[in-house]
Amino acid sequence: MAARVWLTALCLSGLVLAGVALAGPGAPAAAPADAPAAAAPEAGGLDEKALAEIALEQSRLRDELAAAEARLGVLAEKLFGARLTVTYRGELDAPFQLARVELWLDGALTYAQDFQRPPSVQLLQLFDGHLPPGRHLLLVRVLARGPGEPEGAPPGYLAGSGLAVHLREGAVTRARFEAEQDGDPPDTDDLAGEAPEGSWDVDIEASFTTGR
Amino acid sequence: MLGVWVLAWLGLLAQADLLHGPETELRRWLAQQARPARAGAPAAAEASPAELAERLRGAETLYLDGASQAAARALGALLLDPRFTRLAGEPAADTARYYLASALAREGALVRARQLLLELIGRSPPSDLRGPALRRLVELTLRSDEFEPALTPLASLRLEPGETDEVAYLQGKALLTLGHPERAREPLGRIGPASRLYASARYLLALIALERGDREAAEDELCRLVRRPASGREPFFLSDQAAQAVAHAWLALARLRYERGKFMHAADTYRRVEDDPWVGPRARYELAWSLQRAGRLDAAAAELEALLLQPAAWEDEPAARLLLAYTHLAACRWDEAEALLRADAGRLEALGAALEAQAAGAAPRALPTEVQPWVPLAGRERRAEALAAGLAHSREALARLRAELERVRTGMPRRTEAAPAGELLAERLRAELSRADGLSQRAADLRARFGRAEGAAAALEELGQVAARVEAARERARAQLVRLEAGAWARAPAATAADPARTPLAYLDAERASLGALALRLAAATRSAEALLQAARAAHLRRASQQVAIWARQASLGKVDAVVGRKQALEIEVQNLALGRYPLSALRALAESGALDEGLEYWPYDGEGWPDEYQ
Repeated sequence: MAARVWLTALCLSGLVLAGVALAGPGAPAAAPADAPAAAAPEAGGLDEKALAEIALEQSRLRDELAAAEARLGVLAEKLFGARLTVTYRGELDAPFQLARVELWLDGALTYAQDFQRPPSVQLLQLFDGHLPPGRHLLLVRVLARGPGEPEGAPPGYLAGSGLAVHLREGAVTRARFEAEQDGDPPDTDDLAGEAPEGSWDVDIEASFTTGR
Repeated sequence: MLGVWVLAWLGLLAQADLLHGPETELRRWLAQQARPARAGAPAAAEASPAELAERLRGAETLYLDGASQAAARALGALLLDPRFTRLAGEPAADTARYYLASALAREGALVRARQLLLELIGRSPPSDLRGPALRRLVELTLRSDEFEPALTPLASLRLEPGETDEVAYLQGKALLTLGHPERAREPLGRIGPASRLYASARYLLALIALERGDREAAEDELCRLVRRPASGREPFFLSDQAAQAVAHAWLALARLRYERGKFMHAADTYRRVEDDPWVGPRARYELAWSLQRAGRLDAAAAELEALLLQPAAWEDEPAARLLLAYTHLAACRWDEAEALLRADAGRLEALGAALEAQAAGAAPRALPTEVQPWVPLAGRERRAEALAAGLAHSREALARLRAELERVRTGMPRRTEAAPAGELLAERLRAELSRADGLSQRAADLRARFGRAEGAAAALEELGQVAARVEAARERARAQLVRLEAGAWARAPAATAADPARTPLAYLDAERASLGALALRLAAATRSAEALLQAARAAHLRRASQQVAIWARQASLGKVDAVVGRKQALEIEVQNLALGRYPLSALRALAESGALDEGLEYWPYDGEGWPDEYQ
């Protein structure tokens, strides 16, 4: 009985101290995180009106750029008989998850797509349009996430492949990028250990054919 | 009088722009191309429905595969092409407009996208795509928060039953955004359970009730959202968005129960969504809180230990580590608590010092890598980052279009010059800027790592000087790059055209002038966005600094608690010894050696406390 008394006293002292702490790490609030009334006091220095004005201007600029893009598209179609299509076929299996695919055409980002979940199709059409005949440079970048990698952070695995295509007037050039992957990234247990290790081997075969 | 002249002059300018704008010039050239070259020669062939269908299929594939820019270009070109004019009334042309609007919306060209969708929605006789167009318009409007340009034209339309739900949701959201939550209740309450927006509307109604302090009503709303029908059938639109709203509803319900002090009830509610992809980690952290408050200390600690096994850093990680340490404190596990708190206090104090130094700098930029997941960007900060990124994307698109324009004009597949003046320098400046960014980040990380370590003051000062020099050099390089890019935009395209008869020089000149004007507007918008971005980053840095300082203080206080707790435990042991009672540590050894009386009563501590003893 005596032991019980002093043990109780011992734990009481701990709980009294912890009582101070309970106000510390932040108890959950009733309002869900995305409550509309929850203003962001942290961003008080940012002018809401200025943000809205720039957003509107940005939208208008994108409108005009898209209109110019369409005009140049129809012109290129009339002027150049050279058509290019670019496809990507990826065989990325678990535990890797495809996070993003990019196509750079002559140094400019032409296709970019982020994936929150594995795409439902393995074959993606990245480009289809008319270009001046001659040499053009294509670069495909594939980004993937390994197991346990957070959604918000940049993907941890990257592979890329480049190809120069030579377009002919009056012909369709079909460029293909085919990726095959193998590898063994560190899993949660590995990362908790002393010496985690992993690998991601990707083969991207790029080719093009020209036809009518 | 002068005003009238100015207005007249502006009117003339606008008319001239309309008459000689790039679109007018292009249409003129296209019409010229479509005419027979000489009397009796065949005119350019008009497109057939089969060709339209084939082109549409190609663009649709591009859109569905995520190539929205290429899809917008292909569809925009198709709708501009006079060969397809005769087919403008075909259902396939409506599909082209619908996909063009969708692709433009993805690309951020919202005004034209909205225009196309409203045209499809308001068409008489109604288009087959009226329903999908309305839904797309609602999505676009919700994403942009620009309600007025969508709601005003929709107000003049006669809406079908399914469509009223969509518009009611837009009205409710608009009223909420304008700060009229009570008025938003009426349109949100009208949305039926078969609507795809029903779950989101009920969730918003719960939030409104919560905001006016009516917790009962909020709980009723949330329960209505999460409950399953006892019998019979109940229509419910199942989608990712609805599932997300239901997950948030469970979380909100659990929080309400927690706030009422029903900790075990709250814990059971949290468990409903502990594996949910959207709210799972947050629910598990708050579940541990509920268990802690309910006095289930071992269960809370186990939950937190499992949660902290996640390899990647996450938002509630420091708070969860602190909670685990305080849970150990509450369970009188002084050693475990002190070890955790000692490690955390040192790390957090060092990080806090690094953040404080950065916040005091002239141009605060990089947040140490370690802190980024703990203090994510909030509302306006995120918007400022997204705006700056969007404008950078627009600059890339503009540069690409200008290069393409130049290529078309020269008729060459690539530019004639190997490296036009300034391009090489611009490339090098971009590389230097990238290096400067990397160096700033490394300096911030090193400051965070060394922090207030003994003997590191001199190194830290030197590091601060290096960071300041890097920052100054970065600013100089950035200013030069801006000047260089402005110069490149003003550069005239090459004067040689491969085939002047075939090349539409008037259009190219008009397009060049239009893109030049666009470049100036883009530069002005970039400057404003850059200023907002700096303000956003400074606000983010201040917030991160304050938050880390709070955690560091809590860890230090906890450390003191652990030391005082152990001291009190020792005092109690000493008092017990003085009274002739055995200390716990000696009990087992004495019992094993047979030195204890068999009749001694002893209740071992079970780790859960004895609430009846201290309440």
